[in-house]
Amino acid sequence: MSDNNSNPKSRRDFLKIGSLIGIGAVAAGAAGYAGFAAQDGKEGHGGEAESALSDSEKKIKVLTEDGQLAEIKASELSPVQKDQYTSALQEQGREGIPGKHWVMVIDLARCRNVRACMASCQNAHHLREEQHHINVLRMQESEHTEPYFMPKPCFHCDNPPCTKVCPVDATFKRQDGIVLIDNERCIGCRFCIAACPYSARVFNWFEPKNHEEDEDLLYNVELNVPQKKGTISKCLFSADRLREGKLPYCVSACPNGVYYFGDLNEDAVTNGTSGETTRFSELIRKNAGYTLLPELGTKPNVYYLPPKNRMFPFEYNGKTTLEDEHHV
Amino acid sequence: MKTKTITINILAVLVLMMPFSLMAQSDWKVSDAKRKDSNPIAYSDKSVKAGKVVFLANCKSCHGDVGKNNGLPLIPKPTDFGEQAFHDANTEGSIFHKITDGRATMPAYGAILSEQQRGDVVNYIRSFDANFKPTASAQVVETPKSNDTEVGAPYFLEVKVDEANSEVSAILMGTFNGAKAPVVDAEIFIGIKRYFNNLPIMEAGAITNEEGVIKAIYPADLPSGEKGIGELVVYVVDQEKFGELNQSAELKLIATHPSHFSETRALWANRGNFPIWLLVTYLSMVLIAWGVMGKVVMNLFKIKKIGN
Ligand code: SF4
Ligand code: SF4
Repeated sequence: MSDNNSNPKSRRDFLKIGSLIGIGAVAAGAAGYAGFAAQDGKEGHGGEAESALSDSEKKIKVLTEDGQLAEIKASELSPVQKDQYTSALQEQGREGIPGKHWVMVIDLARCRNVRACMASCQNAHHLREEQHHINVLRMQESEHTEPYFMPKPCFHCDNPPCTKVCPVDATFKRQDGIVLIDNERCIGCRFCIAACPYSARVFNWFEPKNHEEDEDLLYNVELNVPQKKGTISKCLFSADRLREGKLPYCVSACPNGVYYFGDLNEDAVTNGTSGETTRFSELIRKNAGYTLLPELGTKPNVYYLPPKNRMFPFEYNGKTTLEDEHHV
Repeated sequence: MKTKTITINILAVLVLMMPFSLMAQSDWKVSDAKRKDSNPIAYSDKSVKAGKVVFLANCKSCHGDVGKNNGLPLIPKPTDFGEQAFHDANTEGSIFHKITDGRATMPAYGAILSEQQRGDVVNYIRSFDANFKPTASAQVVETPKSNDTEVGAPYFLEVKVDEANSEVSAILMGTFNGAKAPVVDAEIFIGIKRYFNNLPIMEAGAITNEEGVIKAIYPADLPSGEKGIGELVVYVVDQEKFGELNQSAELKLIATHPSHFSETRALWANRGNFPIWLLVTYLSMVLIAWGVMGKVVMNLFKIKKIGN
């Protein structure tokens, strides 16, 4: 620790190398970019390579991009060009994960405005406090109906109006259904904000949070980090986590089992809290799941289960109604 | 100076922590009348078994396995019902009302589980109370069945797939007097592999019957990859007792038809997205315009030549 403190520059370099290697390994494992970070042939057969490892061979520790410590054989470590990795990240980010069609289900009956989803999301994507990729809204349809909380991310529409209007191809839909933004391409025209009927997009009006610390980070289009001033950001379905087989940040942060996430092509969704997997079609059928504003033809990939049989009564600011707030 | 700040910090932390400690499980009191209530469902062997199934399906995700202290790290912490202190502090009436009404992170199950189901869960929880003596008429659950105690290691797990009826059977055998004998009342997970987690196909909380068998119907219409082959995953839940026992098999399911999104655009930034009709029209217009201009220039030269 004292070493690092006395020489911040070297620590930064170390981190940089670490993140290069980390990303390289993920890219190699998941999308067939073998050979970027490690020698060919050894990457795909971790088991064999490991058993053949002689004790004399030295291993060194590297820090992966998500902050985890990993070990790698010293002989396999080779310095790489930053641009090469950025383009590899870009490529895999544009391509998506073959054969998948991600879908999210939000159970409104379970939401009690804990906002753990929002916190973990803002933390992961280095968002300022007022920027939301996912926001928990207070809803009441009309005067005599029960109020409820409604988390609202981007719906990753199958017919997205937002991507169509981007003049520079900065926002796009990939083969696994995720709608992403490339902050390096975005010119900040905000056409897409106007096009999205769900207000899912936010703009970086100011210098992003942590912009100084993030300066040296490799831009990951699947994470939108580092954020860039004057560009768009929005929910990414945690594309970086899905690549590693993990559930999105918000989904796994919720303590009340509100979120299900899965693959429509497998007809299965997994609850982020209990880890239970259910059939997507059955869940929607049994609970009368719906999507928001289906009449627009945007074909959202986020489904809601109605707030019936509530486990927790509605309560906001000590009140059980929303009478003081506007509603239609 | 420094010690003073530290003391203040510690005090501040203590004050901040107070609401949490006040919220601790042991302080959750229900009214006296509710305390004195009795469980609407009489204690019986059958009710405890039914309660276990309901518990595994609804409560386990937070409270963890009874006695293993592996509940979720929430605040307040979900009680492990293996703790005797809980049973000493709560009557069956209080447990019933706590399940029904809920509080903070504990949901109100009155809206979700029937009275019968809640009563069964109370009986299941009470079966872990060391001081609890069921009335003479009720059957004591904990009476060990001869089978339970004597069938021991090594254990064997076997899986059979009946494709005609879309049925999977998992058979758990132990050893008794040197011969194979079925293990009764063991929990076995039977599921189909999915991207994030396995999709369970056995009934929630299913346990092995007298023959050591759990049967499950699998959904043959489940989409599973382009070839329609799904991987069956079977394992014994209680690893402490049975060790790591798992089996897998291939299931014939239906093939996935991945969706293809065709991206249409209103504005085009690169050649790949540019519509061909527009490209052709634009290019021909440019060519025609240049052609006309070229022709005019040529004609000018021609006129000059003729004039000479
Ligand atoms: S919700 Fe809005 S930003 Fe998200 S895909 Fe649909 S139109 Fe685009
Ligand atoms: S703001 Fe950026 S992403 Fe949105 S339309 Fe303009 S260039 Fe495209």
